Amino acid sequence: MKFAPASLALIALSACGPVQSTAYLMDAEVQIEAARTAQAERYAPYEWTSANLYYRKSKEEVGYSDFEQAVDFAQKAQKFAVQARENAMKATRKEEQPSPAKVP
Amino acid sequence: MRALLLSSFVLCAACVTGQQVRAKSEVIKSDIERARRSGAMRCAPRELATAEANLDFAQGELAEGTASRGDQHIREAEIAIKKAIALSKDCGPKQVTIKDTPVVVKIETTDKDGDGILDKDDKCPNLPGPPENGGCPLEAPKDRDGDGILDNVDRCPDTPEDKDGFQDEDGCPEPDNDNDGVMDGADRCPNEPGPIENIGCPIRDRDGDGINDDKDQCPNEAEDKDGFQDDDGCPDLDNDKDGLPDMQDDCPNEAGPAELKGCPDRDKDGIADKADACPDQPGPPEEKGCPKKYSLVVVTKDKIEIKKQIKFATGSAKIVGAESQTILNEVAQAMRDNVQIKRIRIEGHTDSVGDDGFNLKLSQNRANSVMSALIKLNVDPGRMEAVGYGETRPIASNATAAGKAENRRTEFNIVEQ
Repeated sequence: MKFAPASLALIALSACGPVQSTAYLMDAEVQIEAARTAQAERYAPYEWTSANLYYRKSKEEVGYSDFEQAVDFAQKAQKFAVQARENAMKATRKEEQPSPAKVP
Repeated sequence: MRALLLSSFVLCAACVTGQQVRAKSEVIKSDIERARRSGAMRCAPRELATAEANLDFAQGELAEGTASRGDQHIREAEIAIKKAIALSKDCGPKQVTIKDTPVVVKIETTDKDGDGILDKDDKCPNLPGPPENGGCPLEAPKDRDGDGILDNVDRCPDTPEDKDGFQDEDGCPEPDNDNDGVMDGADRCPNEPGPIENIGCPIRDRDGDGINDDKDQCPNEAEDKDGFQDDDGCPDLDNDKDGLPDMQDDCPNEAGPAELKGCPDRDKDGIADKADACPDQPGPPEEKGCPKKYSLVVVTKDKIEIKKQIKFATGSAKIVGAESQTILNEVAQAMRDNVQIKRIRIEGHTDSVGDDGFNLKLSQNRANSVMSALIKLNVDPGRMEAVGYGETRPIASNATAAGKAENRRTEFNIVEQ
């Protein structure tokens, strides 16, 4: 999270493709790490998988110098990572407080 | 050569068209919807996410024009969604127990094909299919006529498109593109309507003279429409072909010399016929082209007639009398006025009285005498000749005094004009 302000400043200062995509990738990476900490891999597998796939694809697009696509995918990765973290946190809270109905 | 052919084959086999990738992605999209309805989000979240993400990547690659990379993602999405569907098949809960209330809810409905439509509502319970098709599988679009346009977008799925560059997207052949009734195979201008007599090409009027090219002998030169041969389509710049262009020709339809501005002059008196009061009789300009009226002389087509005779001394060539001088003055004036008279013959004639040889000599002398008198009156000698005929050409009887008087005469005959 501490990288976010710096990367935003970097985006504001420059409209350059490589710089922008790198900044968004950094933000996505931060969010993915946060989701991992919240055990998203176990409790929000759909969002977790999506976040990681988009993150990898974004890096691949940087390799092809397709910065527009890279930014787009990095943003999606970030969005899924945030959702993954939130869902994982909700699920762990539920586990801690047993629900009235049980699904076998 | 064989290696080249082989490598070409391998390359072609490896080619993936965007259209193929697009078609596959449509199938995967509908599979994803099916998997979601079957509960893949709960039973196969990783596979569902993998399929969706790869489909998104494939579409991104297509938009970038890299169909081969798009195809790789499509394959990954295909594998993932198949797994997701398989895992979701028995995903629905068979029984739900609610702890707080002693109620057991039994779910007896099944969805054997896992297409998200319960078997009781599914027309094809063993085959997955979308709800809009009653749960039955949609057939992949075919191309019955093999024209490369899939039947679902082909307006004529059983008739191949003719691919002649004209409306080739609709899948229907257009045997007569321009609808002019001449089939394209025989139409020289298949995309421009034109009559059959012009082999399907439009009849044009390139020079814009109002005469269509098929009837215009000069299709690239506009007719000048001056009332002269205006139907052939060719301009006539010198209608009378007198060498003077119509624009400068005062008489464009009648040939005439340039000095008369192209107008004819029948009597050759130097006055154009249209300005000549007597176009068939030569005359000076002050008489408007009509012969000058002299008191003792008349200029006709063939001769200068004298109304009275020139008188000579008896047996001599000497001209006598004031009246003879007046006649000579008028003849000289007539010669000067009528420049078209190039040459006259002054003829001397006698009656039959006396010796023939003498008469012949006398008539020659008298003719010479008249010619000398005219030269003195400033008539060009080159325009005259003097001939004595003696008594050989009488015009009246020599038996009477009156006849003899008529035979003694001087004539001025025009020999060249």
